[in-house]
Amino acid sequence: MNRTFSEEDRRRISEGIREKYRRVASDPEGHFRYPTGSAGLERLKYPEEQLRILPEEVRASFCGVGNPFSLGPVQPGETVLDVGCGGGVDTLLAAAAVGPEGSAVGVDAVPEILDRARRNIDATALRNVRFEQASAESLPFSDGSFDVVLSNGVLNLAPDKPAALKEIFRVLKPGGRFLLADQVLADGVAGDGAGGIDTWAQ
Amino acid sequence: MMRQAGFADAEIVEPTQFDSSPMTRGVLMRARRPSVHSYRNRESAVPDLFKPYDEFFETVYRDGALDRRSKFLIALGASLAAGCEP
Repeated sequence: MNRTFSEEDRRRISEGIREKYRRVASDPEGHFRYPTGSAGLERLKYPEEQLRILPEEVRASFCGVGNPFSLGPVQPGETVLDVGCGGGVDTLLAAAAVGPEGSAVGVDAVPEILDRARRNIDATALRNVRFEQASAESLPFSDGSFDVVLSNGVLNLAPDKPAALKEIFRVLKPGGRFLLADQVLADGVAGDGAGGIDTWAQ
Repeated sequence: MMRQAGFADAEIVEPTQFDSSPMTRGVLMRARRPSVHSYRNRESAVPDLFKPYDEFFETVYRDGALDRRSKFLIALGASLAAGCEP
């Protein structure tokens, strides 16, 4: 499938998504049919042992579509980037997994949700983790910065997926790995571009 | 799209059991940025091309006047001095 969007289309998509997630930032539960909060974490089979370090108020900010950690271990000492980190649950779990010799960074395009993520750090004992504002298509990191890039339910929202994938590739170290949970089209969609654009953030 | 971006070994590992709509499927995927060492990326390359190279390499590094370990250490020192990428 090869659909390219005009500048105007991309702007509408990005603004629609940001508006949606601004509302999610204050209360994720109830805005989605997506797995959210503690119930969402359980539904997506995050082990309780892994979640132990996160208090309920942090778990409540979870919004995702899968458990990228089930794709393979994140090792002590590694550097991890979470693209589209939202409230930062995956970022915080990664920070716990890499330990004090490693570090985790979460990026998101929506500043309100980053406020929530930063408050979430304070609710844990983790100090090797930070959050920055950025979109997947333009990551503010040098080439080869990370051992692991995580992404959970984010790329489906990116209007320019090739650009996002190129950026993720660029910031990975050679040999580094990209672990993602996402939603993919089961079949081709009808060619009605206008309708498709308006539903990107649903 | 993954391969076009440069990723290797891109694979859909398993479904997540959560589908956000009738048109979409939840999946877990992973991919790797290839290592700089060409011999590690050779699974899909032409194996015959590297056979003479491997044989030459083994001949050079075989135990001789210096043992294999010493030869590797010399090579490591030379590559560090030359500023070769790991």
